[in-house]
Amino acid sequence: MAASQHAFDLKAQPGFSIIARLAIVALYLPILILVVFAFNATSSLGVWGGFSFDWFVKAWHNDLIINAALFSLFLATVAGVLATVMATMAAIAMTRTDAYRGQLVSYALINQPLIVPEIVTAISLLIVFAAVKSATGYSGTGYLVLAHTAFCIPFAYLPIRARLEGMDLTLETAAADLYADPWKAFLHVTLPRLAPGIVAGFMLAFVISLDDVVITDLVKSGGQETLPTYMLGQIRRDMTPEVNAAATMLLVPSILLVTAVHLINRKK
Amino acid sequence: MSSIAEMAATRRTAEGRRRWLLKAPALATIVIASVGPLAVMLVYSVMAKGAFGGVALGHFSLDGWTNVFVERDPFDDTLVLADANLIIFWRSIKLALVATLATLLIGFPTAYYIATRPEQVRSQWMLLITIPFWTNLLIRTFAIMGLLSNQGPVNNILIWAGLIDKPMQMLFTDGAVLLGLVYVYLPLMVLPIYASLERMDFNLVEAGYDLYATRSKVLWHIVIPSCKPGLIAGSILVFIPAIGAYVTPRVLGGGKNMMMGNLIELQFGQGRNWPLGAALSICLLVIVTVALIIYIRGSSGKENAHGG
Amino acid sequence: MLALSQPIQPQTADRRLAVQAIGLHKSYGTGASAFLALDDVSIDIAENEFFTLLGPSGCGKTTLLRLIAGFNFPTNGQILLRGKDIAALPPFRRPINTVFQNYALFPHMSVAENIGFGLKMLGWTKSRSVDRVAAMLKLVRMETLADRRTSEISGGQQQRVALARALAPQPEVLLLDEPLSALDYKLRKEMQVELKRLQTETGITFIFVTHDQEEALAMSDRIAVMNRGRVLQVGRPREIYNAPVDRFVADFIGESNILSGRLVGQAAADAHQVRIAGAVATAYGKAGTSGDGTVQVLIRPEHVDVLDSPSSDCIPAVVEDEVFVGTDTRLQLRLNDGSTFTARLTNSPEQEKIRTSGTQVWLRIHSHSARLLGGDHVQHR
Repeated sequence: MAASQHAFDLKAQPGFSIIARLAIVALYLPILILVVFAFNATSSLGVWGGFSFDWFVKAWHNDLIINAALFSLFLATVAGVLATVMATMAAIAMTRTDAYRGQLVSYALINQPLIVPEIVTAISLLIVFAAVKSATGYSGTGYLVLAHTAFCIPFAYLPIRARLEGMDLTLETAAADLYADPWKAFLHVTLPRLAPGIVAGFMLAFVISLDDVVITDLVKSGGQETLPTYMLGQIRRDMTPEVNAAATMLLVPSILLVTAVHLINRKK
Repeated sequence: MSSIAEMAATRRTAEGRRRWLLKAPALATIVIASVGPLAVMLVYSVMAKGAFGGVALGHFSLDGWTNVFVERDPFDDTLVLADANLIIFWRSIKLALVATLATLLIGFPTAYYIATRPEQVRSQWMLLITIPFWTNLLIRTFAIMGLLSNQGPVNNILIWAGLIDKPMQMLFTDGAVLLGLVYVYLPLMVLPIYASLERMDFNLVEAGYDLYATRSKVLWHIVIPSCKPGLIAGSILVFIPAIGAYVTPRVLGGGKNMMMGNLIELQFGQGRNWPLGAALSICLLVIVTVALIIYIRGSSGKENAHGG
Repeated sequence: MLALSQPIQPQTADRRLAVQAIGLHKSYGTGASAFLALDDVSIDIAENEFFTLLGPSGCGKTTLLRLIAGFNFPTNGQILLRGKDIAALPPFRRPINTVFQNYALFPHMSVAENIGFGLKMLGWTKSRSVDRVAAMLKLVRMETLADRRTSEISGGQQQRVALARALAPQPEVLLLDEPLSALDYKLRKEMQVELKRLQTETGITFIFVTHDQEEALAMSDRIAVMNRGRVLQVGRPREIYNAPVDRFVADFIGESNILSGRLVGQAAADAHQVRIAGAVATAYGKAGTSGDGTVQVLIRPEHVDVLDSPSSDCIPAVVEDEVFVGTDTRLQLRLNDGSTFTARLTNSPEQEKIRTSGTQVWLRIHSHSARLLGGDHVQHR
């Protein structure tokens, strides 16, 4: 760095650029290998035997995988919508007001699912739902919907609240000045401005629900397999690239959604 | 003029009621499906265990809690330390701490490098960090499993290179669990450090060089102290899920290399000791809460503390 | 009232009242921490009037505006719109519109959609609303930018859209909350003329809030000067400038020299002989003496001649500093009682006289321009 033809870079630190690049490579390489072996022609997960779509075809014809995937999508959609609606309502009630009693408690409650280790929540739900199941005899998807909605709420809440806090309050005042009653002001001014936050909140809730394995695994009843719980169940067996193919199918929507959220947030 | 005062009071009441109605669904859902069950678990931890799993409701007993630390010897009925539990406790704490340190050592330079990129490329770098964070944790753990398995690419490359002649057992070791934790939680370290570095005033760095500091001195005396809240936040964000990890040790540790999460699950499965499982859950919750309190203390107030 | 260049007209008697504030109080907080933002404010504003609320920040002018708009509600008192009490009506039921300080244009709507918003909320038919929006665009000379997003137009254009949006529903009263403060100097001057034109063309009562006294003097039919939640004086611009009721108003509007004097005799019904710094002058207005006979006398800097030789009834002074400011020269003087005095002399190239520091001069006060000021604590309604 002493060479006079190079300007002294104030911000550089030796080795940091290499560590950063290696970190990115390390984050993606294992996933990349997993995806690559989904296209393996042989059943090996370690030796490349040529390119083929066979495992995707096989996964596509595996009713267990397809049903699990469909159930995952169903659950993520229902829980995502419920969580987003509830989080939007709560965010509207909890932002842009003067401090009031109980505000901190509400805030702590909303964020509570973020803090408790997943396994602890899962076990406590197992205990409660087991009791409810034996008391009522009901063992439908309601338990999973309820559990997923609860842990999705804080994720949906974050971007919606952030968006609300960045919004100019005088716009609603202006709407009221121009003869909009509170409901019309919400519909014509608040909601359109809030929409990107709501979309981002739904997408995050959807991804979180889609990804969950621990809570789902312990809460689910028979026949309520999601793609992640199906994959977890496959560990003990002889694994084939079919699981990689299923994983790849789960990866794609997640990555697309996260990239979309990123682009929405950047546009503001 | 009481009418105006009454009007204002009515308005405030209506406003308060509206606010509660809006919050109610979200809060009720969380109370029913998250906070409430924790309270039930607290109750279960002080009940006698049922014969076939579950608890004997109404039969108060502290066995669940004492079983965390000691157990009754099946042969002579004496109390002995519950070695297995304590070993798993210790492994959990050790692995979570080492994983936190490792992610810190990798995450800080990474975050610093990204924060010093030109503004246009910064958000692209951050997207690269964020995508794995939102990618299915199970799939990422699977990816590590595939990498380390006896038939996996790492062993194949080592054999092909002639460094080993038969596959090395890497999977189902503490090392595999540690690698998994570091891999899975690295983005959680980078994000908050980046956030605090991005806010940092780089004029401070210029002032440091102006006053004859070297690169390492600038790093140690200026950069690190000013992003201390980010370093603390990142460490807590990694430590909390790491100590409560369940999927990673289950997939990469096999049956033997358990962490607390697996031990808890065991009590509700094969172990059939629900009170013990509930007590262990609360122990885990306490550790997490202590870590959070340290975080809140560290991130508020003492932001101007000098490092070194 | 000889001091005024025009006689005062009866303020509102011959016109219908648009807005009346009666005994308005507004306090924030309770108990010891309570803050009284408005303290017994009563104002009558006539129809078709350009009325300005003027005062320093925190004087209560914006609070008063928000009470009239309905964004806040008074703690006590009445607000009448054409004789009807509207204090309890929410803003969306008041035929009053506001131009906001930061314009508050809806960023997710086009210029035309912004202007048409109030009409849509009032339930106007599409075709009727389109016509009105077109007329409004024409009124503010923005016809070509109807489909632009509000983020794509300049600050001055945003200002015009905000005006058009507030005028579109033809409110009975238009409120303007420091609407020009975000514009640069030149644009501000243009918009002052524009606002005045719009007010004349539409015939709508404008209530304009500003802290800029020049702006207030240039645009208003009448001005209410406010301080600390109270209205100190209401009057036409000339009246306020020439005959301020107290020291605060005198100080806030224009430049002023406020000197201590002693009453020595009465010259006429509203004129007194006052001894100031060694000379006797005639000052007009009511003499609000404190017990010992001292009075406060206001003399504007442009209301004196500076003479180089002594003359009868002139105040002797010594030049301390001379500042050339283009149109004028400002002389900083010291009187023999120790007080300072600023004189402003109009420049012209032929007769430029340079007075160095220490020069002895004599000040001749223009006839009818010395004003007696009431005490600081005199109450006004």
